[in-house]
Amino acid sequence: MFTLSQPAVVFNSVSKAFGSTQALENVSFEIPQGSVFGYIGPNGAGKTTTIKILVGLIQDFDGEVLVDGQNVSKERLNIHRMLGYLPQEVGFQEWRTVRQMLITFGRLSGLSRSEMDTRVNEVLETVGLPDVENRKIAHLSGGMKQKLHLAQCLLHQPELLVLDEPMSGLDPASRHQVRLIIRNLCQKGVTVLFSSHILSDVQDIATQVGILNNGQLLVVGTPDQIQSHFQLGNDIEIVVAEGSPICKNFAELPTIESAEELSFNRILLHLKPEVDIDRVIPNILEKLISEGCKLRSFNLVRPSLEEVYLKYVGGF
Amino acid sequence: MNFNILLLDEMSGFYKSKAMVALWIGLPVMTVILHALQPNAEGVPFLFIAGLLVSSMGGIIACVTLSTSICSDMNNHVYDLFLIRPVRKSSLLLAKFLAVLTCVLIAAALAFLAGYILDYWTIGVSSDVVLQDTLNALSLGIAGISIACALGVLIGITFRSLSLAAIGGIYAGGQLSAIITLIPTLLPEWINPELFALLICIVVAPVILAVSIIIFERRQL
Repeated sequence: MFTLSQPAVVFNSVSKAFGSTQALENVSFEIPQGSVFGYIGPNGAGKTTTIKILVGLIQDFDGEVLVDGQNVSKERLNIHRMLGYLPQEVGFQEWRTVRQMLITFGRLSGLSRSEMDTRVNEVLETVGLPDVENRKIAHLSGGMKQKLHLAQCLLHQPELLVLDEPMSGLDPASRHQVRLIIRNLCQKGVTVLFSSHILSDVQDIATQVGILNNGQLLVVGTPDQIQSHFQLGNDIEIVVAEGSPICKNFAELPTIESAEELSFNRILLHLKPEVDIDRVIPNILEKLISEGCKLRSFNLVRPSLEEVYLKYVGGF
Repeated sequence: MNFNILLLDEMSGFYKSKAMVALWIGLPVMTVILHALQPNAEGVPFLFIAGLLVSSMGGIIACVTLSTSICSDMNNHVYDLFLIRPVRKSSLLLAKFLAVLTCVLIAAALAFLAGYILDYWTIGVSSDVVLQDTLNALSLGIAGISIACALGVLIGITFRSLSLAAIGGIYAGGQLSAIITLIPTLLPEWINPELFALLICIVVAPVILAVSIIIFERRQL
């Protein structure tokens, strides 16, 4: 297991250029042990470069990368023993059957013959491919191959799982299954770094998020920290009971810019940008009660991770 | 340890592949067909035809098989999954080299064996001269196939395009085969062809392989 006293992964001022293209510029972050780090950014932002540096496929870079305190440039073979990696772009030698492929990778990862059968069956069960072990890889669908990718990286029970776009090509049910697998691994203490374009997946499972754009890491934090950084719109959604009067003259309150009736019992209040939210909320509640509204829900609408992401990478 | 796993894995991949089965059956069958098609073949031993076939085709087959296989694996990022395990880049190339070399040599041996059996069946025990010529052809054939395999590795890691790798393999393997078949006529009499073959096998193929490994180690996959 990882040493408890230090982060599972440390990126320290990492830069990488391909010719004149700066793929990564001074990227620094830490991933605590047992956390799920969601790495997001537009195409070409440098996510895969970061991941390839972490797993040792790119070795000439500036800066320092540590896994469990060990330098990836110097302790590559040690680190590979505790690492599971699902690449974004990868092919299998398709003449193999699923079982042959898993046995080869299992043996290369150090599994003994005695534990091989059990582990192969377990991982195929985990990823939902229990009936394909004797099928040739060439005969599997794209989604099945993606699950097989996941199976090969779980085989030797790694302590650090690095997944580059693990949900791509999966149907909604399979995506849900992969999210469950990641959550279960996280509960067992496995550290996971995954990149994704599907922000709802990141929001759902990541305990830490990093947003990368043009090779620069713009922000790192928990989803809550990142979302609370922006109060995009400062909105409050109010729901009242069916048949209850719904207050419509919110415009009387000086702190409210406008009110939008979403349905017969839902109203969305847009607050003025400069208002102090802690002072406004009691005023609104007071008004609702004074007008006899039977309140069912009162929510401060926070920006979704997608909105925050777009704000950071300049999508709107 | 991991090199042995890789080698066995590559061997199992190649010997089960349709290409290798076709080669193992194909070379002996072609020996028979070529013998039958030769208008002046009466009296020409099958072993001679087998030697000609192996030295003219073995190199091309080995070179193209390796160059296209490595190029395709690199294009499909197959090696990524190996290299994130405790595996050296050099082991990947050496395992593939040895697997193809072994498979092609088995095909060559089968062709010679078929020739020998057919000769025994048709003209009886081969003469010492025929056996000596066969040994010369076999040793030069093995040397040629070894070097062709090494060249196949070099071409495979150099070209990104599969068609270029195939063309490079055909060209390099073909030229090499032509040179190898000419060697006995070019050598002065005091040089023993088998020793010469052994020497180039020991020197040239490892040098080409070493260069390939250095390039592969530096290459960004």
